[in-house]
Amino acid sequence: MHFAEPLLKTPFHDRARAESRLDSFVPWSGYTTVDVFTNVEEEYFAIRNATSVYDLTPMVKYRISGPGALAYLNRLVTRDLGKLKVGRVAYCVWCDDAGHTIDDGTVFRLGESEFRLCTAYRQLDWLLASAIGFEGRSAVSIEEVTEEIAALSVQGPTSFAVLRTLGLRGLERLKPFEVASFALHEIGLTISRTGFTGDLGY
Amino acid sequence: MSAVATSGGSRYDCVVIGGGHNGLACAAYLARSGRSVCVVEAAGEVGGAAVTREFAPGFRVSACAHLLNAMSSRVFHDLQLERHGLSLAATHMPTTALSGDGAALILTGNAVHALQDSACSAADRAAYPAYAGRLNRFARALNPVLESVPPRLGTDSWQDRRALLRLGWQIRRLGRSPMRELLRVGGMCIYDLLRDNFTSPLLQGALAFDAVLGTNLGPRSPGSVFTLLYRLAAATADADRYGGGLAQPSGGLGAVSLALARAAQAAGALIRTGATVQQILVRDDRAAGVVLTSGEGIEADAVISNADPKSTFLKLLGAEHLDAGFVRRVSHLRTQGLAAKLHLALEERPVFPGLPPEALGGRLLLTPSMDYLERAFNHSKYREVSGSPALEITVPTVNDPSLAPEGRHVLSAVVQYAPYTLDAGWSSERQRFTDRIIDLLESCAPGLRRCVRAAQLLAPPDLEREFRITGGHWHHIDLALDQFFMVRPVPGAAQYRTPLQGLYLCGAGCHPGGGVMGAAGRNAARQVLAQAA
Repeated sequence: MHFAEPLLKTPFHDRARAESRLDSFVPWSGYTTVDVFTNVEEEYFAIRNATSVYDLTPMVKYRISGPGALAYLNRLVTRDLGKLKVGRVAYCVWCDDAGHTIDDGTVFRLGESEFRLCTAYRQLDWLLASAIGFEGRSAVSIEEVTEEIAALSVQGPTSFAVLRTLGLRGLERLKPFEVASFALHEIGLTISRTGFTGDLGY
Repeated sequence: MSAVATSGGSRYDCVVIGGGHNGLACAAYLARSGRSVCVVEAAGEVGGAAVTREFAPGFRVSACAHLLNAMSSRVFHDLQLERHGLSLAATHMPTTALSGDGAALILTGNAVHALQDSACSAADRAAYPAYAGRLNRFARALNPVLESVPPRLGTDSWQDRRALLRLGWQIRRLGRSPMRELLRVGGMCIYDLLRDNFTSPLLQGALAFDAVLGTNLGPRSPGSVFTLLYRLAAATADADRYGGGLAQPSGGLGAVSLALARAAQAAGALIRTGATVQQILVRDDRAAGVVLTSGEGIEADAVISNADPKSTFLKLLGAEHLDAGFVRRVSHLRTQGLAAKLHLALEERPVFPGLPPEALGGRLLLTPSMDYLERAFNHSKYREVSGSPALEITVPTVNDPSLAPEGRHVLSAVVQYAPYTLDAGWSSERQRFTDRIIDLLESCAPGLRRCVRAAQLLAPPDLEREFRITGGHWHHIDLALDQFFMVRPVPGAAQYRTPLQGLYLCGAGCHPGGGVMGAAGRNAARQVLAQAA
């Protein structure tokens, strides 16, 4: 019941709560997430010198697919996504008619006409407005999949070493801005070598 | 789009999509200025919705627009339409208002003639000239707006500022109290204005009709005074200059288009019929020509679209070439028509008892009162046809017998309200609605039903299909304050130019809008020429 639970819990909530020393939870895009586990300095140096895990589930995700998906996204963002190969990720910005930036985010090309757009804020109104006129042979379907896909950001210079212990075969071949599918205990995982630190991260 | 293979290699300075009357007028002006021009029309004949067609063996009728009331006198004279074969079978046609139960009154110029004392009170007859004179003064003040390219707001261009100042001056020049009155009534509904001025229902109904004709408005809809002023602005000042008033061209409205086509051809334009544009060719972010459904490509420096804005931008050009905000504005345009057209082939001349003979050569209105009209409108809000629709009736064969076999007649009526979308669907409503209209006609002209040899009803979906107008709206997009002048069809395309370089609009979806005027075509041509210069 949405009114009884105004903030959703991510699939990692209980695990995060167990690790939380400060019980410092904050609302983020409709979810309650950990703000600080221990203290900010310790966590900062962890991400710079070792590895940190950050629950990214509230990041807004859209599935954009259909025969017109590429043409649609190319019209939406300022970058030429025709050059983006399947299995690659690109940073993008999108603007209004006056050229003012609305938001930025990442576009994952998961298939020839299957994309995932990750954004900080909800964009459905603008995404649907941009889809007007994409019909028939250039039809595009846009659906928000934020609640269907949980996400973790594993960032830091030792992040590969951490993930390798999970036995993810082939992860060592993943290049920057590349995305691939893996399986962990029969759960499907999509891992991309992207992140917000400018360092190694997944 | 580059994906479309093109063959052939013709090339022109300008290609005009659609040979409606505005497209033809635009082509004529461009050709007269020395441009090489090609007009591509999908139908087998030019004219768009200003066309005369056979609807029953031997019976012809103006298939959509059926009267000339706002033809731009400048276009009329510039393009020498009379020399190119246009003649008027009737001018200064009177308007007769029918009550449906025998009463009637005739409106001519600035006077009301009641055929029975009950039709119109003496006080209303006395008040009418002052009312008509006041509205006509307002209309004359607004008229210059129609012939000019709308200004843009917030620019540094002296042309834009001059146009805004000129409009302000036109209104200010009316004088203090008339100016105040114009600003007061501009956003009012016609219902309130007519109640302020008159008490006779028949007179009120007839005067209200012109405020809502061809719009998505009822008499109580705000802004309906504005649409009336717009109609008068197009009609009053201009009509007298070409001697037309409310006029009927010989050979129907199609004759206007044919004369425009001849004028364009005489100036050197090529007109191709049966040539349907599949899409507008875009190269290096500018319009570069058109591709026909046959695959043939026609290259041009300027592509001028007579098609409605939604067809032009969303179908022929494609949203991917336009900004999302612009596309959203275009897709939100109100384009659904609310007027249907009824054509009857009659064995003999219909008899409307009590009317003087000249009345039948004019137009007859069946809108007994404003409440009748508002009730007719109510249905349309809920996707139903009017139970008792309002009618604008003409019997064109009275002035122009050539439209029907010897001794036979044609009745042409605009029927309101007939929404584009019906909950019950047009296929099930069409016959019932047609019968209902004929019932109403029978009540005004007993014996008419017996003479009907054939009937054709063109509802908005039919008009959409026949004339390739999205929504079947004969003004392309609804005429209302928010879709007028500087914002018609949408900001960013209201000066006939579009966001895509080299692409222009010239149809009724642009200022000054629908009705057979030709002003949009002329204004667009001026913009094309200004751009190239």
